[in-house]
Amino acid sequence: MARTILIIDDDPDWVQMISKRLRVNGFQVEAAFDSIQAVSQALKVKPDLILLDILMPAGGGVGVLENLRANVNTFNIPVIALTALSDKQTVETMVELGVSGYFVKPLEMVKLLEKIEDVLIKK
Amino acid sequence: MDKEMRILIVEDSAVDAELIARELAKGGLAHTSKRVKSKDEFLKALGEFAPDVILCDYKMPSFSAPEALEIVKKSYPETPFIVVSGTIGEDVAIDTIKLGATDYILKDRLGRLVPAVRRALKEARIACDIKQLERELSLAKEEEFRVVFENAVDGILIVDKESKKFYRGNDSICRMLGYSPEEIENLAVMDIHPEKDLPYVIKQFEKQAKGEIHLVEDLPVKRKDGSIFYADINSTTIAIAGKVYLIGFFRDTTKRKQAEDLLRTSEEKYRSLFVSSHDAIMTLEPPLWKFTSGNPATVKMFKVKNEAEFLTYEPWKLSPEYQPDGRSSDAKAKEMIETAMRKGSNFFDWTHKRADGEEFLANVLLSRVEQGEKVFVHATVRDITEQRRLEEELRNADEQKAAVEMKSRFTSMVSHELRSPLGAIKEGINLVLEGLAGDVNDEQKDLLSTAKRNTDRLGRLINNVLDFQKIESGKMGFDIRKNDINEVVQEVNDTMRLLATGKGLDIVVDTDHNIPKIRFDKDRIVQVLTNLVSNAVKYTEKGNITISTKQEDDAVHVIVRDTGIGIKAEDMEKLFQVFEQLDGARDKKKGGTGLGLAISNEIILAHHGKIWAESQVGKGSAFHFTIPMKLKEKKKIGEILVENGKITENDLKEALNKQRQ
Repeated sequence: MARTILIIDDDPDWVQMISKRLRVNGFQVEAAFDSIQAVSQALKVKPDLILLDILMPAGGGVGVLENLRANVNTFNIPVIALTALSDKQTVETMVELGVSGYFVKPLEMVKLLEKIEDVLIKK
Repeated sequence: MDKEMRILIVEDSAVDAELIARELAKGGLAHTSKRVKSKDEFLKALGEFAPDVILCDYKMPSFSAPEALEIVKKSYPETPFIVVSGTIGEDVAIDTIKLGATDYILKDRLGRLVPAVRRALKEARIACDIKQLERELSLAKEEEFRVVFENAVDGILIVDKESKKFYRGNDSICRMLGYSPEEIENLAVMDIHPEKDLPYVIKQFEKQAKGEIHLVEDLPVKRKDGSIFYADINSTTIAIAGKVYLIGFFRDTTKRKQAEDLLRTSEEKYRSLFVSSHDAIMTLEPPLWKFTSGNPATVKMFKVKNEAEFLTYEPWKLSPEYQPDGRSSDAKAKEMIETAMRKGSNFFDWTHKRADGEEFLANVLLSRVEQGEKVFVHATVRDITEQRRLEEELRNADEQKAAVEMKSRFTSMVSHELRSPLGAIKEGINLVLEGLAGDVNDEQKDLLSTAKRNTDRLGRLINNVLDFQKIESGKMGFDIRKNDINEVVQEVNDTMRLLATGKGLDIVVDTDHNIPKIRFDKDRIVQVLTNLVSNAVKYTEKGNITISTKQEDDAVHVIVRDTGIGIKAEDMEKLFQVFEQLDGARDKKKGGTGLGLAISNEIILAHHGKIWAESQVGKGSAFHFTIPMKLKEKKKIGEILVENGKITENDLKEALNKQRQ
């Protein structure tokens, strides 16, 4: 059964690239481009894993994470955060909100794929 | 009692007339006044204005007091005539009294004026009353007498001159004193005054009995219940059944006295406030709006010599020619004052100028004040230069804070904005290169590899710039934990080995295994070592690179030695500075950013360590850094809230540390 990954990111070019990469690796990929779509897509698609861009405009990323954690249907879905920030403040926030890992852009695809496998196995 | 008193002032000097008018106003006399300068005006005023009292200058160019007095005595003998004069010889003064003047007042003793006027009017009125009563009494009918007696508003007591016993008292006095008419007939003068005042009372009584005086003012009178009131007592004699009695008319002046006392207290209060206030308090009067008073704080604020000097100014004279809004101080001040007069008060900002020329910003409060007939403006001025300065400082501090905030937010946004597109570019190139979008020929591969190399370079540059900015602004947080320096060496070796062997170079690792774990930020030190080793590889064509660690005094000492081209002596000092690459084109090709050593420098400094280099051209270089064994404690990452039971705290921590790129 194909595993689905939901990618939440406001950069469509980036989404195009990473979707291709993930599909080549056997995943089914859905996308959401803003914080509003994010939760509704998550509920609709019920992905096995979510890749979330933390630094979406208007502070969307962290808000989405909170909403996902607050919703009984989505709180269980593992989230890997992608961020351009590597400062401690953000790291702490993400850790508090329970992400399974985070990557700083631009990222190494190989490592991301390893991580995804890790997380899905542990699930 | 003082209602609409009409005062005629005969005075040729405008200044003196003004002084008189002011004195009258200050005394709280409700009055209208008219001023005349010549005989003709005087005669006209006597008829039309019909004054209650005349104040007359002794000597005027065309007219004199004696002349005026003569006229008055003839036509209006009841009207009190008070001579107000500058210097007047005593004989002259006595003469005027003999001629029939009621009183005379010296111009430099104007304080006496108001009481004199009051008294004159009172006596005139009472004289009138008495004359009236005498006329009626002289009609000699007891009923008529009784009617008057009983109905008088004033309290009336008829007293035996010798025994001082009361013969009769009217209803009014009974009410005033609280006794019944019968009780009154058993009392005497001594019974109706406070004991302590009796000597004075008796003395005055005897004067009245002898006809020496008629009016005694503000005498304390004691009621049946012991309470005290004050009364003016006017007296005359009366014959009843052949015996001569003294008859006294009592008018309660308590209210007036209270009012006077109150006024005096409030005046005293105002005066003490005026003098001691730290705010500048001053008054201005129409029509010229010159200052008419200024308290010590005012004198200080405007740096004038004293109050007298202050009174020579108008408000706009103590201001710059133009206010900050461009309007002339002259016109604007008058407008502000007029608004205060119209609305009762006006509060506004104003730029003043001290006597020494210094300008300052102030809050001004103008209030309209009515005192009897007089209307003037009361002003409070507060120097807000200090206040404004503090506000300015606060604003600057806030602005600075906001600027720092903005800068750090800028950093975050920039890093995001720069990195995201880079990610897409890199991935796009990778996907094609890996053949996932179709077959790739050699030339395409070559071109795309170049592109990819440059995206990597761009990525490194962005990282370096942001790192450097973070370090410089003190915003880089270090994650200090106990770490093994040799592990760091191992990690860097693993990363760099391929690069080195690709150039035909060896990396030799020489570590001291007895070095204990010490506290440092592992990722950052890895960054430093990577930077040094990568430089070493870059600038070495043959030979090897040695990484060694050893324990020394209280620190761990790391050395990266190479057999490369070395560094020229004159370049040594520029080494750790920003953007100083020693060999332009070659460095760019090698992908350097010019920031690596500067960042390494900052990182080592942040660890309170030292970093330096030794080199010999043609032989090689050695880059050293030390990290002290004891390092200050830094905050750890906070506690983790785990909602999902499947992921444990350790998992997360490990995962996060491993994944951080």
